[in-house]
Amino acid sequence: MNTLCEQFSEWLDDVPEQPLSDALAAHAASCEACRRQLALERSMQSGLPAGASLDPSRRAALRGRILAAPAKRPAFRLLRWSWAPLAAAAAIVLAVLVFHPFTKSAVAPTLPSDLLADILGPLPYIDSSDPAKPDAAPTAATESSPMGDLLSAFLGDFEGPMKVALGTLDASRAAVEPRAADAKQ
Amino acid sequence: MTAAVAWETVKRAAGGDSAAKQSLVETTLDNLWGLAMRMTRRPDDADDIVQETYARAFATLSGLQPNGRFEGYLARIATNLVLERWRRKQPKADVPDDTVAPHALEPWQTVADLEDEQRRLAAIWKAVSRLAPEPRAAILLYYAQSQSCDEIGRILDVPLGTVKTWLHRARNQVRHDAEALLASEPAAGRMNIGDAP
Repeated sequence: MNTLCEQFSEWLDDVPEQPLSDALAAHAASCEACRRQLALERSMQSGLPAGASLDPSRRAALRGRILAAPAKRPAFRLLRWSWAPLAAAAAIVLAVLVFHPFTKSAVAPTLPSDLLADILGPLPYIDSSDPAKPDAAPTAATESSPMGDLLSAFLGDFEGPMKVALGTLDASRAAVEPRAADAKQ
Repeated sequence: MTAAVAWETVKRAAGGDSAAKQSLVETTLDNLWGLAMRMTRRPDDADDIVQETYARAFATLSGLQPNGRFEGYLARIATNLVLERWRRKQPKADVPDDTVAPHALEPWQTVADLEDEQRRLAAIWKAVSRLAPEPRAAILLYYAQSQSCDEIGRILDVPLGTVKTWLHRARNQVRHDAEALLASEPAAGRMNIGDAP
């Protein structure tokens, strides 16, 4: 590529701000590559603006449509795009709720009663039905204090259900104890 | 060349004056449709863009500050609508033949010259349609709408330097691609008008 070709290329980069000099015009007339480039540039200048005239019938129809159409406020850009992060956040929350181990129903591991006895050893006997027994566990009711009275009055409502629960515990202990005794021997 | 829109007319249109609205449309419709048509290359698409542009412009008239040209505001809305379309779908590489306007034969031109010009123009449009949306809009605003780089910057909401970079690259790309397209097609046989059988 000679100097004139380079100059012509530089001119083309600035076109159409700068007029084509006589020297470069003469060069373009004699250089095939530069002539092709110039023809393309001229075609862009003359051809791209052409062919966009609105014919009267189309114009009338379009004008009617424009004036009959209601004004339309453009959607706020932030709102338009806010659905994407919101949807992603919702999907993450949903995934956590569905797959996180905390949300799964916890099934307590159960051990066979004999193995439990091996681990725990013999359980102390607490006879909840007879508070007069010397080894009976002290209860809040045996304490004599204003706070103890208050607690006793409050716990009185739970006396029935608690007795049922303690009875169940007794039954479990009775099942476990003989095996624990066997294990000691 | 249409007359510039007076801001007084815009103000009246914003206040609900339907005659002022009609006046705005009358004054700006041809230029705006020309812009939309050059960008979309399809008359029906140009109609849609123009209608949407006016609908949006009329909805925001009351908040419009009277600086710059109202036509520039319309061009900005229309260009952004076209850009949205281009971003949504890949630009079509094919250009309808009927949208490449035929030129009148100049006294010194031959039929072959005219055919060459048509082929060149079709190749240019094809190359333009392959550009990325923003440079494509920039080159069309520059060549087809004769907008200055400053005005293009305002329409596309980018700095002047960005406009110049886009234009520089787009021009080189279009020339390169168009030349490659022309080289891949067989040249039209040259025939002078006087040689017609």
